[in-house]
Amino acid sequence: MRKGFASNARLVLLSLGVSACFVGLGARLVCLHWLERESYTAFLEQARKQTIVELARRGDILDVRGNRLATSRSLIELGADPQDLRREDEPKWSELARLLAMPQSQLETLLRRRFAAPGDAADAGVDTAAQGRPVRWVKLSEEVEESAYERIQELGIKGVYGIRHYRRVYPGGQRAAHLLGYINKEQTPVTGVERHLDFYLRGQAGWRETERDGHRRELAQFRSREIPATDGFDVVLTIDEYVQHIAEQELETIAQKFQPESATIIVGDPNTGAILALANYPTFDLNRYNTAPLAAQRNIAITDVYEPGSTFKIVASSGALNEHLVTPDTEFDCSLTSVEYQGKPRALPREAHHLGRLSVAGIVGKSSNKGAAQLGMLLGGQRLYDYARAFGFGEETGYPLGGEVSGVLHPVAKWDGLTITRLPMGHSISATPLQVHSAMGVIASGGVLNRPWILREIRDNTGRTVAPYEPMPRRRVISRETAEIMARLLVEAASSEGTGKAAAIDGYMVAGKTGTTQKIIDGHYSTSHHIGSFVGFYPANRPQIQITVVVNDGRVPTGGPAYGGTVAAPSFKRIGEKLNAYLGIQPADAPAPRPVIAMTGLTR
Amino acid sequence: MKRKSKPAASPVNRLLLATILLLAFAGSIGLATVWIRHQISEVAQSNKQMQQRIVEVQRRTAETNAEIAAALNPEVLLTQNTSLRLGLEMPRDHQIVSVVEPVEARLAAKRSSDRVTTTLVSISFPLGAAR
Repeated sequence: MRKGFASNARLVLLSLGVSACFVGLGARLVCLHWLERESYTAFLEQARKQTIVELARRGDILDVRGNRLATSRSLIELGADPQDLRREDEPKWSELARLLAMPQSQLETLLRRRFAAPGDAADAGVDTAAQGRPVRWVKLSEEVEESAYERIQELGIKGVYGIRHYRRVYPGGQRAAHLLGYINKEQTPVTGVERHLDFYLRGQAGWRETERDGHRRELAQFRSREIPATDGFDVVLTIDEYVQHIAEQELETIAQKFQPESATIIVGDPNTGAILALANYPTFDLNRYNTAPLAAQRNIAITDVYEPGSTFKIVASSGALNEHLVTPDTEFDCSLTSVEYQGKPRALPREAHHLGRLSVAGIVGKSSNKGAAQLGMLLGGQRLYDYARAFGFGEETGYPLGGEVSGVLHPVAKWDGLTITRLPMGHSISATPLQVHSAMGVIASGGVLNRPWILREIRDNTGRTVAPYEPMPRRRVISRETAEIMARLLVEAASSEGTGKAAAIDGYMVAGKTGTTQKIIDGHYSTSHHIGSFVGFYPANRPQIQITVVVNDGRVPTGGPAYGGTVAAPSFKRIGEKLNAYLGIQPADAPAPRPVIAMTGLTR
Repeated sequence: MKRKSKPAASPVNRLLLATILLLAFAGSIGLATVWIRHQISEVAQSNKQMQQRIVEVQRRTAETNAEIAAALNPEVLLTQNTSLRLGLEMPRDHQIVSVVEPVEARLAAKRSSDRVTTTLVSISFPLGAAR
């Protein structure tokens, strides 16, 4: 056999060399993959593997016109690792201090603290448990804005870096504070829309398992599992930011003028039950919720009850008219002191003025207590109770954001001898401002009780509607004809002859009812503490706006009781005048807008 | 003359050649694998950067929206109206003229009047031609 170039010696040498290489390689592989496998794997797991959490952005809360009432801002918690700082970057510290709006000396103190020392650790934001150890993180600022962070990054200071997080901000400050609610420091939604629609708003954080190199940079090719973050949905409310602003401005006026204990204004569309504004005094700034007293955070429109007083007279008069027991012209003697009911004489309540004989229209217009009591007795206890329930008293209105109380309306079996004469004038009952608003909405809407409509829709982050909310009529309470008659009677109540004349808006047919109740102080009706209210709507012939104003314990500067006609009705007028221009509400004599018929498929 | 055999033709040399070729093939596979891995890394890195840019743009959009919302706050607008002395006010009732007639009918009439136009046309008849 010819061997050519390959001699025996050369072949043996080559084979030995190759074999030695392979044996060496094999031995090393055995070491790495078998003998030292555990320690290397553990080190790799710790050094290279990482799980990165991607935060989801919380959805916005929008008003009916798309204005943002609540949104989330991306902010950066800025810190530094003093061990990583370079001497050549020190000239840039002055610029960093300027961007952080921090004295340079303070910044230098923080950055030069390379080892945690007892006593100063807590001040520097250093973990006290790590005292004496090298400091690897010093917090420089909790909330740096994106624009400032960009400029900080441009400085290129090694060892200074930030962690992004979202912070909930409310551009309007105290705008619709009681409706929106807020997110506290622990990122927990506390009240209002934030809490009750948290499921839609919060989104879902994403995460990915990946590896990093020696410089702690992510090696994107080694991403193994990845779940992208899903941002939260946007919630659209029926609230109109400008209408809300008008209501809140008016509450400020009331607060300055009458210094009440509390006050509430609700503005809505009676046809759908949509709430355009819901404002309370006192209120608070959502961006500084932690400084607000708890009393200011209560949504008193749904949590506080009061005796509705004369505004409740719509129930007895509507009931009597709806049952065809009376007509608007039926007269009652409102000078009597007692009337027999179920075989017993019942004392009639007192009037502020002597009124004599009054028709039903007069009873409503002049707000006669004796007249309302006689209407109640004519209706009878059970029917009066049934109508009160049908108008929504004694039960929750269906306010969708929780925290609502149902008020008090005792069943007939629990009534005492005076209740039949006191209930029709709005005593022996308690209701929330929203319940009174809903009850008046029955007349404005043509006899139907609507559920308060506050949530309009839920949108995903592409703007697509994922959950629409429609108006929700609850039940028919009175016939359309009765509602129209009542609207006419309520126009008289808000006319120059009625108790609510201060609510009249020039050129507009306003229908409404005043209410004044004495507050119960130490178990007795007080003669100096009142709750004045006005509930009304306009234009009366085709209602478009309904406004409820409740002023709790106002002080009239000129003295005298804080009647609803004095403290609440003027606010109705001022709000209405502003809304006319903003919403384009036409005066009473204008014809109803006709539907425009559009045809498709017609081409020129 | 005795012919000297070619070394390449010998079986051992063939074996060596085959081994070298095998090693070269294995090496090229190794290089290709490295190249592919590098490409994967490049693409992954590029995807990551693109993703970061998208997130950045979304974040900027959200930031801008938040700033717009703050700037459109009625209180801010009213303050600017005062500080810039713009003198803007809501229209008052007496400044608003309500259109009581049906607006659609008026607009329809206006549109029709543009189409149905009257133009003065002179027509002359030659008297001699009429018989």
